[in-house]
Amino acid sequence: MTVIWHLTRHYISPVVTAFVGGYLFTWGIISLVVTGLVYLGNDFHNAETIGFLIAFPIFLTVFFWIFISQKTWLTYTTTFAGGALMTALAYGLQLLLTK
Amino acid sequence: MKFTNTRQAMAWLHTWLGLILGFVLMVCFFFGSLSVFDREIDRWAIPDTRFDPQPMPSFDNLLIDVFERTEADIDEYNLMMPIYHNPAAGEMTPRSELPADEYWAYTTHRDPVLRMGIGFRVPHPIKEDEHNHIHGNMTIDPRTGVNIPNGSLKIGSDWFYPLHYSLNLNWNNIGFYIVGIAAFFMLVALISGIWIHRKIFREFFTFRKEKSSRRATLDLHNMSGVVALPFHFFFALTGLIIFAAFYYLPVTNTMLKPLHNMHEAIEAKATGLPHERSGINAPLASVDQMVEEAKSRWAARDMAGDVGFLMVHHVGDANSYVSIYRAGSDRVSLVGEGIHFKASTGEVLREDPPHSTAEGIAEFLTGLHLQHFEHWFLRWLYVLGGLLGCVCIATGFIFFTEKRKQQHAKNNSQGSRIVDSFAVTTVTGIVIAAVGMLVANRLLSSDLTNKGEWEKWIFCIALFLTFLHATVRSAPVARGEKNPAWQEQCLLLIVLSVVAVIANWITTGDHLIKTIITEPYWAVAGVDLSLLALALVCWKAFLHLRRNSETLTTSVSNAEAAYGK
Repeated sequence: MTVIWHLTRHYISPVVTAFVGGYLFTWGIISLVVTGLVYLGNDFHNAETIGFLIAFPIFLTVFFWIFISQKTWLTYTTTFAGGALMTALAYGLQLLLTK
Repeated sequence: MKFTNTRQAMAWLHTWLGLILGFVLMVCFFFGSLSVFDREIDRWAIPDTRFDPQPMPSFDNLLIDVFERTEADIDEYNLMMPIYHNPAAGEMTPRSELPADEYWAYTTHRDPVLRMGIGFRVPHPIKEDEHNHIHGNMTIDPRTGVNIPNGSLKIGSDWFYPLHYSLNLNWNNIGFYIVGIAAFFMLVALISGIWIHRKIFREFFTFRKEKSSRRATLDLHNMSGVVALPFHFFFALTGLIIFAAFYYLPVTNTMLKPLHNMHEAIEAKATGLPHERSGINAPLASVDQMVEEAKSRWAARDMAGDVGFLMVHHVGDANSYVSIYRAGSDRVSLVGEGIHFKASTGEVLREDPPHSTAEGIAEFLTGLHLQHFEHWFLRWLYVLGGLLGCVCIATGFIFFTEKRKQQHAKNNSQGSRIVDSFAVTTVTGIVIAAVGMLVANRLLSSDLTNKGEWEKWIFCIALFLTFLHATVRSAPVARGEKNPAWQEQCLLLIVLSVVAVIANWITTGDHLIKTIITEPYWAVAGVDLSLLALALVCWKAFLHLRRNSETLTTSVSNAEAAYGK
């Protein structure tokens, strides 16, 4: 049990956290990029394409940042809270655009 | 995190994520490599389709008859109709009476046969604004319009090809997600690999064959990883981008769906291509004339070409329109230069304008991954790059076990044994399953009902048996020795590959002298030659493994004699 706990705590959990944090941040940034560009007058499909082109490089960068960072409070706040905030902003922008 | 420095953390990521997801990546790389020649494997597996590639046939004289005689797929109807149909609105429409809403036909420069499909609409749907389609797909001989029997499995394009992106695990699309996660962690493994190997340029030229087998394995792992690094990075990344909108990051199909729908309606208004049916019936004008008009417009743009994809939207309605796309065999980018016609009159409604820079980049990346272009040398380079990926992953597995198995043997740990069993299954096992499937394809009667299903089962059973064999024979690994399953499965592959080539000759009369010299047909000759090359590689591997195990046995005997045991 101790071995499993040790593995989960020190090895599996950082990978999962980095993956989930990175995903959430990427989701937030794409949704904000798409709605933001449409708000600025861009074509929807063009905005969507830009979003997907930048998505995975951002995801990778954030993943590594969370994984190797020692300042967990900074990385967690930026990625989890930042991702949620950007998603909320994008949702709000969508409401404005589809009103 | 219990790492003393970043490099150690990266080494941990590279080793463990590479190991765990390497088994999935091996399947992706191997079957991705085979997919480069999926159509050619189809020709080998379905001898009735061994004729030259054909252009898109006449819609008015041939395709329309095929569309009109085709019904919705019975399995999909039974599964989806109760979900789509609103009982309060009326009776459930029988399968044979479902009205068609869209027709499509698709061909490439490598296809003798033509793939076609119909989207049938559900007359009383629960959700009016959803895409309530039940499909009916078929493949025909474009020279005659005769259907290729449904039981004939296109082993290349309908089994090996989807294996590399979905593992053919279709329950809730779980295979797509597993492959997506594996592809992401492959990028992580590549970046962490670069991070830990600081002397990357030197490793490009380093292969110390004369050193210990463990050192040589690591050299080969590093070299194959570095040589094809851009290729591996690119394919993992573009694979993720291709499916991002549907599976991996479905932002615009879920959270931003209202914005997406609003844009579709705006686009329909701006382009003049109706988004919805009008409800008023209208006839279909000559589609062949529309094809001629499209071709002349492409020629006027100095890009004469054939039709690759043709689609009729809102069939039988006044809002119906026909979209005609150019085959993209002369360029990398996956663009069709679509021209759209009003279906009832043949009037041109719209020509697709040049795409934006971002869309151009995405089309180039997608096109480079899906390689619709006609460039045989480049296609073989793709195969080489894919197989180098397999070498990189396989040597990673071998290095992992070689490095640890002595230590595990001392500690009575089964770790190396388990990894080795999985490694055998994903290195030689998947190849045995694939070649075994081809052998079964030639030995099973073509009259067998659901022959394709039998072939799929044989693939799965063969893969399971190779795993069982690798596990049962892996006891020596726990003692720090080699697993004899590697040798035995190499031997089996030699037999299977040669049997496949002979079986093809006996059952079809297409031997190599005929397919190369007297009546050249490179699709079949290529598969036969590849099978023989595989047999040769396996023979070399078998000899090498046997020599190694004999050396080991002699050393152990000498050591035992020296200690007087």
